[in-house]
Amino acid sequence: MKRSMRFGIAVIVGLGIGAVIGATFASRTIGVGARSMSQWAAGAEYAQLAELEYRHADSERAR
Amino acid sequence: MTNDQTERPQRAYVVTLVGLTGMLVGVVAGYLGYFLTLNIPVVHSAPSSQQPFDQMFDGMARLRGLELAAANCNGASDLPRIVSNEKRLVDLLAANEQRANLDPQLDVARAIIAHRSADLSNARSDKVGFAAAVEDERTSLQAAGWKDISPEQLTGIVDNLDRCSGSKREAKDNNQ
Repeated sequence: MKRSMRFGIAVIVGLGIGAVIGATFASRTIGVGARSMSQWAAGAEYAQLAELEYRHADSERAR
Repeated sequence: MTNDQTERPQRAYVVTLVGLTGMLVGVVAGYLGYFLTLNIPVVHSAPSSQQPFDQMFDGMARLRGLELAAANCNGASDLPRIVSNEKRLVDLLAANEQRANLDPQLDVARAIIAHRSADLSNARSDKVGFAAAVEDERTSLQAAGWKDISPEQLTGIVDNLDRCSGSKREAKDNNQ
């Protein structure tokens, strides 16, 4: 096998393995973080609006 | 030992090194690629391909993100784009409400947005816009069934939500 071909294969295989490792690591760190943050944000907004309604609406609507 | 035999391990070493360098570049590229394609609901709009519940959930997260961006105590960061994005988002959420089987208090959200809109009009000395926004505020609070629909009460509530010590409008009046 030619020398340049060997290097080419090494680079491609290395890149492929590296990309999979990088993407998996990212999904377990920033991916989980982004999901948690979104869940917190959605829950907080929903709860805040519900609390305002509960405190200030008439008894019929505040239920 | 021949020359060829001594070169072989050296060659293998160089090929391994090239492979490891490629892997390192791949790790960085994979990480960045994931990050750049990541759809964070707090920042991005929910894709229309999502289920109604997920769309509503992500929409609420985005509304929170916009509210955090709009919250300020001197009215300077009440950017028109944020307010118009909020209005559009609440309309989308309202359209999705029944399909998602959720009942967020969108009338209250509309009143808060109208309040921010009134602040914005006030800062621009747009009397017509201000009157229309205050009217929107009242209509939304009425639809939500609030006992007190005065803009003064909502001013206190929004200031409290934005963690302001005094009223925004008072601060503006003092500035003028």
